[in-house]
Amino acid sequence: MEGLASLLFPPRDFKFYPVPRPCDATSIPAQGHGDMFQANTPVLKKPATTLEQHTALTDNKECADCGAPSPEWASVNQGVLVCIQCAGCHRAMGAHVSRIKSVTLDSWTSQEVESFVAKGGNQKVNRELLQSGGPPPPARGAPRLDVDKYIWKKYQGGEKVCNDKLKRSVPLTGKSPEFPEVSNMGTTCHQGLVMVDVQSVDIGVDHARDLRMLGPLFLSLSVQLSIGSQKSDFTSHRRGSEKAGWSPPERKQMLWDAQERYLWCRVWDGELGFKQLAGEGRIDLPKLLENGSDGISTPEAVEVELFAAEDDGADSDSEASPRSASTAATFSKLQDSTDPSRGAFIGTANLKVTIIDMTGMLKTQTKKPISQSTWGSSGSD
Amino acid sequence: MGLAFTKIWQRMIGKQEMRILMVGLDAAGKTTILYKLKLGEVVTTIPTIGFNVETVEYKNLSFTVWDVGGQDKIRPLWRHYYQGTNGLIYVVDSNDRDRIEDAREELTKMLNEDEMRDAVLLVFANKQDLPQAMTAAEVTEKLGLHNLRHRQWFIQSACATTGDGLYEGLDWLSRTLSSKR
Repeated sequence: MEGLASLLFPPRDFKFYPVPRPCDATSIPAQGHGDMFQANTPVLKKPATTLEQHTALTDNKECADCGAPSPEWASVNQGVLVCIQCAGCHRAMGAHVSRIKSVTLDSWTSQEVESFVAKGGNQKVNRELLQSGGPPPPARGAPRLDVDKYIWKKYQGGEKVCNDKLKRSVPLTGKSPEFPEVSNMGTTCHQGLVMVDVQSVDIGVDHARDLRMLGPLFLSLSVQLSIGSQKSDFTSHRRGSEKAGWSPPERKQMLWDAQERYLWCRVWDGELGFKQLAGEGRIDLPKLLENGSDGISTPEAVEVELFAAEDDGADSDSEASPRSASTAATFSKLQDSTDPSRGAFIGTANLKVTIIDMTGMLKTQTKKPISQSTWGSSGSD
Repeated sequence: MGLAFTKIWQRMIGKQEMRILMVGLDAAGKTTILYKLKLGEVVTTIPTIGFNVETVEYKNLSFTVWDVGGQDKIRPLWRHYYQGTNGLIYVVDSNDRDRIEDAREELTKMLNEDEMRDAVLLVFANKQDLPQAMTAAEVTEKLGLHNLRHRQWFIQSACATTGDGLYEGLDWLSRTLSSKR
């Protein structure tokens, strides 16, 4: 379903962060990569330019262990540049064997840069280790386990390979539906998070009156947020008039793949047995993110325009909406349904939205697929 | 009302939800701990440039554990994860003597944040299997835990790859958080 949706609606505003390639000498002049991070981040000490120059050497354009292109990680004490997968294996040996640092995401002291550069780069270190009795490198594209074994032998003098520790995560037998992506555990992660503080909604007097005619005589408003197929749980209910407020604001958090364009805000009336969709609106996430820097939008007050919507929620699927009947094909009907302003404007919701998007930090991080099962809050209270 | 009912129900069946933030310097073992707890298996991890979030059920609690990457560049983002945190798990590489001072600084900074005022602190002195690992007592001293005021804290020596110590730590968390309610 999700796959179908993404096929039908390719992300329009997918934000692309140009991540410089540390090891591509032709595309990166000497002033080097990492500038985009350092520019806005006083925490990072600017490493000596020699690190950039060093990583740009032809000798260092492939991972010292598996040959993958453009390694972005360094074993500071061993003097090699490696890919993120091999960096994982290095870390498992312990910092006394290999101290791993990111070339772009970690700060380096000048001594670290100096001693690292002095080792002479991937090819020199590899040559020396081989000459001093190290294992021969595995073939290009060798299975991960073989590369891991090679790494353990190579940097620990051969005697300490610990097979227990080389267990890459493998799918459990008898597929458990609870952990669909178990084979990726530890090698993928989420990179986007949207945090929403629900403050208040106002659905307008007229619309409130209309809703009262359809259900109980009092309103009971709650808010639910969603991104793609992912739904937050409902806020607590507020009984009373067309206005509802939450103090302190209620926080809802949602994973974000940095591709789904809209955060949907839906206001519901009713509780327990009876629930009707009072109104809905949406926020353009990439657009909001533009106001921030470095992939973080600072908490921002957002007023979402709400529009009356046909109740296409859980309660009624029997009633064919006149609007969808008028559309020519299923496809355009689906497309129509993504635009809330097809309904009448009824009011507003006040939210505070914070977005974290780490997809621009490193090009080689594999994103974890977002599924309901990894997320506690499914769409019910 | 729906929510209140849910809360009563949760109390009856005994699954209270706790928000746990797990941080520490890079390569401390956070992701390995998370998946050892979640799956009971050792996974070989790669650096987390982002975060993981999993729910781990233990005793009468349901822990939602946020494991956020520890690279220098990512650490300033930790604060976005503070709000609503009941428990902080701080993971230390006991084998990494060179960076224990960095670890202390980051911890101190975090505990001074207003949003973390009420969070209880569990420290895992991880990687006890490695040759030069500091003991929990040494880590306690180097992190300055004895100087903490108005903070419930506990340190547990651990080895994420064998699982040693992890459940002892969770035991303390669940006892401490249950009694706080």
